[in-house]
Amino acid sequence: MTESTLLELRRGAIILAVLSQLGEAHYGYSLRQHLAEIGFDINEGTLYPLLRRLESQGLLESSWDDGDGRRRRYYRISPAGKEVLGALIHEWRALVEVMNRALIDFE
Amino acid sequence: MELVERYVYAVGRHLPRKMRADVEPELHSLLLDSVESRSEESGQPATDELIAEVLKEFGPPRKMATSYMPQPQYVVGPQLFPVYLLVLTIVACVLAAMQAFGFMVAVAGVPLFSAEAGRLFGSGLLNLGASLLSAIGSITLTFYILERVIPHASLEEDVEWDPTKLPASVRVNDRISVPGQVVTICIMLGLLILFNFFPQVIGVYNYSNGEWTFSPMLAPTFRHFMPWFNVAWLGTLAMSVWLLVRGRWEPAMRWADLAREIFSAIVLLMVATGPSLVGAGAGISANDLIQALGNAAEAVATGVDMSIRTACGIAFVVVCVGALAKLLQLVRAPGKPLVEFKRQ
Repeated sequence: MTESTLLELRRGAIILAVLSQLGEAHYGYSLRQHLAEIGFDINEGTLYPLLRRLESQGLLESSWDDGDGRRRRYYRISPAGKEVLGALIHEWRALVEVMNRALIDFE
Repeated sequence: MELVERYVYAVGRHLPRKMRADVEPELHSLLLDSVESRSEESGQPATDELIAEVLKEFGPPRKMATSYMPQPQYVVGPQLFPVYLLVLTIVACVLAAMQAFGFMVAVAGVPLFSAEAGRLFGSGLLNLGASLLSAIGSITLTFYILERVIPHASLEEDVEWDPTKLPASVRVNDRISVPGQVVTICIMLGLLILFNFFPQVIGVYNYSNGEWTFSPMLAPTFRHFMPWFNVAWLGTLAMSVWLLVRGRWEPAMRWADLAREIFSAIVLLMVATGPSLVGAGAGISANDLIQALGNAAEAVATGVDMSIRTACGIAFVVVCVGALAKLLQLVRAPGKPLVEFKRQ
């Protein structure tokens, strides 16, 4: 399987993963670490621009903070993002169920 | 940390100015976090080597900058691209046809395998290249502006589309080439305008002793043929317009086209066997030709006349064969072509 096919498969899931973890504020690096800890590795070139795009779509809110001696931009899910997250979770669960049925012969 | 500064600067150079102030500080902070973390994990100081390793993971600056852009950056986006391609094809075909026509007019009074004919051909090709480049540039610039001016929402297909209103599918043999019809229309218009309104410019151009001389080439007998030519050209023009309007071949059009081809064949036969349309013997002043071309005037006039007759004779045969094939197709099975092209 080529890398681009894998990336294509993961593309939609990345947004869901990111939105689901931003109930509490994270800056880019800490979010990446956090996602890696739960088993979702995203490279920097994908995650950081994605945060900016989600913010420009109104799904995230951001603010700068000088804590820990370094100025960082923290992201948190917005009310609109929460609504989208709910719909995405619903869709994801339905999709997983369907795909499990579709792939039952491959187990 | 100089490498980090250089990387951030390199990314910023590929970003729109208004985005830089926002993206650069964040990217800088993210890079420092990554370098610091990598340094702690490895128990090594943040050397240039370690920083370079982190930067490689972030990716080339241009790629990173592109990821920050709000949407893919196109000169002409996917929604306008098919129209862009169609316009380019039509314009390229029209320019090529015009250039070919201009070449044929220019070379009419020149021996076919002479240095002058070669020079005219070369300069025609250069002109075509220059006009194609200019046209492609202008069209691309126009679409570049359209891409940014037209709201993208207006380019989206109507969400409430009705499948029952889809146009009927067209068999492969009934499909038409839009650029081909446009080129035909342009050529027919060019012929009609040139021969009806500017027949005096058709002739032999010669450059000698530092000045151009010109002798008209069409004989007075040509006037008698003009109504026939006009009907043939107008018929072809009308056929192309009809095809463009309908967007496909229909049975009535095939019969009309057959009639047009038979008429064209008759005109071609008249030209091939009738009185000469050019040359000194057909009405052009021999003195004019001699002045223009010297002693070779008679030979050139005869050569041009023979070339026209031969070309018309060949065209007559080709048109007759084509018309016969069309007739057989229409008589045998109106709905079934002689040769069916099937999709794979």
